[in-house]
Amino acid sequence: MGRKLLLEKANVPGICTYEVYRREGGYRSVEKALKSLSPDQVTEEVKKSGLRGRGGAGFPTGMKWGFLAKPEGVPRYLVVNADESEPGTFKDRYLMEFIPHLLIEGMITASYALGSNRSYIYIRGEYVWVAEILERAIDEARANGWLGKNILGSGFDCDIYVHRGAGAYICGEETALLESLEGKRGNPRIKPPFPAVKGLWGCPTVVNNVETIAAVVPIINDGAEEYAKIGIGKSTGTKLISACGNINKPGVYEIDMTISVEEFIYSDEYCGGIPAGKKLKACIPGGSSVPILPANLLLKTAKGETRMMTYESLADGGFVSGSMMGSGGFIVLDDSQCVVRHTYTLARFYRHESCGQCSPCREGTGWMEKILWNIETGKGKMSDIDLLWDIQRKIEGNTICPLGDAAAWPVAAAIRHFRDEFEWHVLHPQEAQQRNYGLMHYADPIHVPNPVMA
Amino acid sequence: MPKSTDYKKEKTNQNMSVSFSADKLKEVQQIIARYPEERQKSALLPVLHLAQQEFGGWLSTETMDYVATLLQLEPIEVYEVATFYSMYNLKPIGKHLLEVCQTGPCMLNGSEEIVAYIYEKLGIRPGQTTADGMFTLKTVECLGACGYAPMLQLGKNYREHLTRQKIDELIASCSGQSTVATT
Ligand SMILES: Cc1cc2nc3c(=O)[nH]c(=O)nc-3n(C[C@H](O)[C@H](O)[C@H](O)COP(=O)(O)O)c2cc1C
Ligand code: SF4
Ligand code: FES
Repeated sequence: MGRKLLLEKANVPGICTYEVYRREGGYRSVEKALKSLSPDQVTEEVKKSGLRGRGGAGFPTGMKWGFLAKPEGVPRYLVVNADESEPGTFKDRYLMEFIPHLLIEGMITASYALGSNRSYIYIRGEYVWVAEILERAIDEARANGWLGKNILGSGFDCDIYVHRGAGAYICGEETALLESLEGKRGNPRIKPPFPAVKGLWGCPTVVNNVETIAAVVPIINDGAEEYAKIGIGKSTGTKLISACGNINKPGVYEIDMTISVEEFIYSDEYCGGIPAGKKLKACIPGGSSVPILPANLLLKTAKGETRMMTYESLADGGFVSGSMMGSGGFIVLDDSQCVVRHTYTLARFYRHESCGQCSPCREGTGWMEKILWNIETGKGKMSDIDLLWDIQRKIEGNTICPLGDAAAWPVAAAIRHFRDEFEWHVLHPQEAQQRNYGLMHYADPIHVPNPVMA
Repeated sequence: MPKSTDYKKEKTNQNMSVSFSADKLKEVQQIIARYPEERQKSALLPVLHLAQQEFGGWLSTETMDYVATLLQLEPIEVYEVATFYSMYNLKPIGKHLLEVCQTGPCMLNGSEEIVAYIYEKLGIRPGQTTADGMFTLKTVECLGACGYAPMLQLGKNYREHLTRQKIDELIASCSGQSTVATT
């Protein structure tokens, strides 16, 4: 059993109420921070913990806090990103639904460190009932003196508000989120200036993921060193993984980053293997935006090493033979699934969600969707596969925000690793309507080049 | 992509006067109070949600103009937001809106069969409303329930781990033929 820091108490009956949460030791980190640490000391702890942003990019959180500009007389803001719209990702919802006070507690401590007297949770619009749960938790926290003026006599004022989005994946991108919070369309801003300097209403702002902010609680409670002891290398602490697709036990798991991908998929403690006697064909380990890997490269790196559930190991091999931890949305495909069809649904998703500001993204996502649909429905040509490759190359790196890259990468990786499945669709259009390509060689042991130089 | 729409041409709900009750106006004031002074434009998304809920499940031009007046915004500022976000309906919808997620992870678990089964039961394809105005079917992109697929959103609620039987029950309970409540 791995160690749990966030979800350990998530199943205690009544933990979503203040009484139970407090009885179980809740809000201790706020007491500790406000009574015995300065704001800078809290930031310092977060730096030392090695905590990396859990929203997808894995940026060191303490460093991000350190960048926050602090001009005199200008308010600063903490905004929690609960937009959670990356296909495959549903971990933040779990945390907020089951143990909402953990997020509120983390936010108070983080707001203290950053000097934010008014902090927001931007939650995706569809999570109506989750927003209600959070609002109840905030009211309880306020009623018990954890929010409001002069919290615990420290002189620090803080309040938290929930702001519901209205259906737009792009509002998970931090600058689009800020636009949306200002009551506008979710069009990402050109950076710089970064939110740390000019964010919400032009004021210095930190945007952090729900899970990132929740992790501040154990870091302050147990100390940065304890936290950093868990995990391997620069992957410290625990990570929430939302597992879905073709597995026996889909759900949200908190892992300490010391287990292998194979253990995560097959162990009964986690995904419990592939159902109905089918075999593992492919997996997108970190949310729809990260590269898909065939079974063989998923379980072992190109060097033949066991792939671990850590930031570094999942990325081992770069985009040639690796993937990314991303948002922790772990999508498993069994051998009866079609990679072309799955990639098509993702391309459609990105076309639907593109805000339309940059032509490579606006036009490219629609074009890729169309070509993928043609290939999938038996109307594709061989040259379409190269065309897809060209289009994704022209989107990547040429857009205002990373949604362009996020749309390009899944297509690139699908072609890179599953090119023969695409070609089979083109060469056997009729057959491809009746059956899927199957497992083929995707789980075969990979040839590891002899490291000894002749 | 921003949705193009011909909302200008849509008729508004005839018998509905577009103005909030005193209670709802209080709620609007509470929403505005979440933001610093002079920043009441931030209240636009939440107030549009409230307006859609109060005025027939969609946003007519009248409704949007009313919201603009309430928040002291130009009507165009409201239109451009209402057309950007997928949760705002710019056309009238059926009494019950079935929004089936169709993205990859749900597809892996049979979302296409769910859409086909709803067609079999109700004769509507995505984007259509039943003749009696009871049901509208929409396909949507990932709703953050991928591990509980296939799923759909019905009003405020998620219905997860869908099966044919659950669809039967859900349609029956919406049609008032039975009181079986499913989750
Ligand atoms: C298209 C797009 C969608 C994103 N969606 C989310 C999201 O739903 N939740 C989230 O926390 N971060 C999301 N991000 C990342 C945010 O921009 C930002 O990096 C993150 O919230 C920072 O928090 P962290 O450092 O705690 O990870 C998204 C980024 C992009 C480009
Ligand atoms: S990359 Fe796409 S989503 Fe991002 S700003 Fe450009 S058009 Fe909008
Ligand atoms: S893919 Fe359907 S809820 Fe995520």
